[in-house]
Amino acid sequence: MLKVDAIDVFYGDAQALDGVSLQVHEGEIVTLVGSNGAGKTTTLRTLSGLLRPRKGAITIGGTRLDKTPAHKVVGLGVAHVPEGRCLFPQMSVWENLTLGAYNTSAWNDRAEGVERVYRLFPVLKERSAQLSGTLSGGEQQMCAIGRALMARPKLLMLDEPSLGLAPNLVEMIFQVIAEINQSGITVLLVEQNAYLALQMADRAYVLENGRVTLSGPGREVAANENVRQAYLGL
Amino acid sequence: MIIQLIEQVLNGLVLGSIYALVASGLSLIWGSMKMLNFAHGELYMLGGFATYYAMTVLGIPWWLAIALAMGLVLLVGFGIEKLTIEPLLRRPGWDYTPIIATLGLSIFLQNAALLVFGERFKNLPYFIEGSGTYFGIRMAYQRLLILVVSVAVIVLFAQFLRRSKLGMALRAVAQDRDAATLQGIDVQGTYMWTFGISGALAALAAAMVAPIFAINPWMGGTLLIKAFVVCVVGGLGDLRGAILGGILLGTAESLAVVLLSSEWKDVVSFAILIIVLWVRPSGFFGTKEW
Repeated sequence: MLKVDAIDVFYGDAQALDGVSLQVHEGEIVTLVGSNGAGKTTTLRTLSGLLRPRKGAITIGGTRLDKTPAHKVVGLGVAHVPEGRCLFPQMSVWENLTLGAYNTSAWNDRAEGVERVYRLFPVLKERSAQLSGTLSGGEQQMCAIGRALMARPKLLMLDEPSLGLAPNLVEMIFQVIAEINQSGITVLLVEQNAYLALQMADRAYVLENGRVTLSGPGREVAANENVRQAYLGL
Repeated sequence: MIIQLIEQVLNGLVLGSIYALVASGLSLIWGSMKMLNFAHGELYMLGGFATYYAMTVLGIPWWLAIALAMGLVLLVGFGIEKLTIEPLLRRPGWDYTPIIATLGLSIFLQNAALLVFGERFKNLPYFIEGSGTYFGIRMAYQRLLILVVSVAVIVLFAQFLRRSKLGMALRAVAQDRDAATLQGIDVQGTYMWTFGISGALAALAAAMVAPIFAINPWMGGTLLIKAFVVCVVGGLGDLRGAILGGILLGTAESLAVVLLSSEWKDVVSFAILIIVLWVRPSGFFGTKEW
């Protein structure tokens, strides 16, 4: 479904990604693990067009994603929940969710879309009119995931969804991600909590200094001695 | 004396509503693009001339002339954004150049207007002649018209920002550019609309005061300075701030005219600016976003 072929990405002169290749098949949960600064967030931002690769190609269902204007990427079925949620803080929960359907065919059914998100996260319904900047961290993460679902994506990319959340909320968010995946949405997950991510992922890629150093089924990667030492603390 | 004061306060509201219209455009641009537009006054000036020629040359009624002028300046705003701002914004590290570019544009447009329209001041008759007296307070219908139209347009504009799809997109871009892009909002497109709409609001203001103040190539300059004062007093990037700041400044200036003398009105407005910068530098609504 998604094919990333040897992309190089730079911030000015500093190289952030060096020949990164990866694939995501339909229906999978794929995770990218690696330490801070390894290039996980850069990879997702490049996939959604906020950054451009200097070399290489990104294709989804035959369309060159790296040649698509950034604001049209979501229309191709790729939704991105950015690191740190990035909600619109001065807008209500309802407005944030509605904007998630902005440039897709889902705009006409946005009222129904909002209802579906409220069924997934009932607490958001109670907060509907509240400014998103005043939500708790967990509620903000739910709102950010809900906003991405509003576009009815085929591929959902999540960047550090557990960041800064209490353990019970982390579990809840991961459960929701599993549910979303079971409903037929492919998931690409970037996580600092490598243990949880590797447990739930069908396949995993390990990034180090902008390069893919290891890939394979989630459990195999979790069993790798280097990974156990470096990321799982075992 | 009381009657005279009330009349001056009403005149101040009229002037204030004009300031509010011009300042809300500046504030909109600051809110979504984080830049100042020094050519905003020239968009105001173009609106004045467009109304003048539409009424005198085309001979169409005032309300149609205003609509035409607003449409025209909307297009000019699109063009300015597309041709001068967007290419500069695309260059990394050129963050402040668009502001300087608008300064150049302001000089260019002023001189172009001088060349094309000439230096003679132009006047339009009142759109609605006569005046009414209510509870002993006299008010020209033209001024009443300005007040009614400004209030109506500002209310419509606020509703547009609040409820329409484009209005929501403008606010989203103001609050988080990257997140807006991820939702499928074309940020460059919203910048064009930002420039166009703010220009159209300025054109409306110029058209309505054309019968009271004269139309000339420099009319935008002084007004722009007042609009900046309004923005700073109200808080840049906040629509409520632009409205409240406009009303405050307009009223203060009108009262200064009657209580001191007309030369003192600019002194009063800049004194307010200094006091606000001193006491509350972020303005009444010291927020960052719409």
